[in-house]
Amino acid sequence: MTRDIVCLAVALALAACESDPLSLPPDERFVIQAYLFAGEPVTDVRITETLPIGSPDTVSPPINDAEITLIKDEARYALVLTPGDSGYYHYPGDDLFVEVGDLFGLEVSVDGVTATANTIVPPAPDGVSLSSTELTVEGISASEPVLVRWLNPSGDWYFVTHQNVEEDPEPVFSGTVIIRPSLVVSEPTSADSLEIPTFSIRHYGEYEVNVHRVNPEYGRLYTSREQDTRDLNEPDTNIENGIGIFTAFTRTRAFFRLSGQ
Amino acid sequence: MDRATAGRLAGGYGEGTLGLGDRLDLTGGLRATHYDLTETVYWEPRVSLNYTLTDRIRLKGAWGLFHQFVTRVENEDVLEGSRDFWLLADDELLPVDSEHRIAGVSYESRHALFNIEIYDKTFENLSLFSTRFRADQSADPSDLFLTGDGRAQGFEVLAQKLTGPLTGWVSYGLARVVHEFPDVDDGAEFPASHDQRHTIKAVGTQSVGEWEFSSSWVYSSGRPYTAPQSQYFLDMLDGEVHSYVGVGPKNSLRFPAYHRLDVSAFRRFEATHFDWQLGISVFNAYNRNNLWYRQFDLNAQPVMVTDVGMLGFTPSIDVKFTLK
Repeated sequence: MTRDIVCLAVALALAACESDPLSLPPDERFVIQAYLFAGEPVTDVRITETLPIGSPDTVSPPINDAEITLIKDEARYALVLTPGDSGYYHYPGDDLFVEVGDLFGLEVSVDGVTATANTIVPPAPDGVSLSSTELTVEGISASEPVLVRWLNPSGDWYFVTHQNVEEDPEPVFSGTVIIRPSLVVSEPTSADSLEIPTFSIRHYGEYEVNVHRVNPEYGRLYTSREQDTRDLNEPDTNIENGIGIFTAFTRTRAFFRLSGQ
Repeated sequence: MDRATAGRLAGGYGEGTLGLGDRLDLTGGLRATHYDLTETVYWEPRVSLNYTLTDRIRLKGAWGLFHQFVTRVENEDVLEGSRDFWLLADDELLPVDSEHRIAGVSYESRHALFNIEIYDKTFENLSLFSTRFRADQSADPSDLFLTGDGRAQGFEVLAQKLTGPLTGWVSYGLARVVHEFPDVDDGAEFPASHDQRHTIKAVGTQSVGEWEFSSSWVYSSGRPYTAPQSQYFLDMLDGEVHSYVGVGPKNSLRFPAYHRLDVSAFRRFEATHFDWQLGISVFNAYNRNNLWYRQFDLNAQPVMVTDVGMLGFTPSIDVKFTLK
């Protein structure tokens, strides 16, 4: 009978770790930010570069030599650069109409690389109503908030804007530092209502409320924006061979007025 | 995600060889496997040919269908290196189908063996687990499995010395393994995570007196990996500016090549009451820092990359006693 005894002594060199600042090849993709608004000219198309992952810059370099084409019903509309080093493009003619139900294609070519996308102009929001169209003042602002409602049986995405449209609006409180109230834009919501708070109604006169219906690709930019170092998820995009967003919006208007006490 | 599954396989296999003349042998086989988790019978025919050109040279070819019921799933992690885990196939995670086509020629004598082989293999129902493409944070983990196809092509050359005090073999392989997943990079083809273009292996054993020395050297091209490569910004209509990290195309980058040398020496001794063997070996003799995976810390400014290496220079001694 034999008995085997094995003794093993091992000196281990632990796996090595080396940390360095980042050095990776650049991302060659370009960023498309293209918004169409029903009933309005095409002016909001922007093309930019990406920044290296470690860059401290917060402004993307514009691309001012892109070839951009909008396609509707097989007709092609070439966009031109808007003056300035901004990367913005617009359609200079008056024969392009953005209408509900239109299916648009987008082609963007930069240095021989072409990215494409499609979007549809959504229908206007239905059943838009305001809880009140005549408001009075209480304190330094409106006496009550304005509840904006619309029909949303299928949980589509909407956002609401409101702005005082008087030419020279008078503030409720003479000591206010806000001379000209700006456009207030809400985040997209899949609800069927949104409240305009009293603190944003501080000038007398007429307010224009716009309820915009947005496409899912825009709403997903809000739901997919969470990226952290433990769980890096890919930002949503409807661009092929590129990154960014191409989408369209349609709105329904309503008005309310803030009068004196 | 917590999954535990059990499955049963029941199968049978039959094979027969037909001699077609003096030189050609045709072997055919058929495997049938029943897998209870899919309640399906899988048929796996296979055929191989061997043609004896001379008493030393043979031509060979093979074709067959195969299924794999324990699925290897790549757990993609762009920031801390991907890992693999294994799951039993089921109705949602189907067994991997593959079709193999192989052809080759071999030369064998008393002293040496040469073998050249080419192959072409296709795969269906490959699995990838990735949180990268989920629509929102609340996505169920079971929805994060992606399914795709793959193909492996290449050839291998082997030369082996069989006799004499110095024996060994050297091989070279050229390979290309690609995957295609509809949900990844718009369905574009990308290198598989284990795709390594060139592979060289050399093994030698030399007897000197009572000692036996051996060494092996391996080289393989760098493995592909995915990295966060950019950041970009989008102006939203509510005035917010959303910033995003852009991940480069899957497996579009390559680690440095992997290579290492292992050496060992071995000797037997005899004593009165026992025999003993002494072995000395060194793993990674020239301490090559081969990369295991790459980590990205997006919270650091600038972004910090950490390369985690594999085992370095590792000597070992083993002693074995056998009582008489």
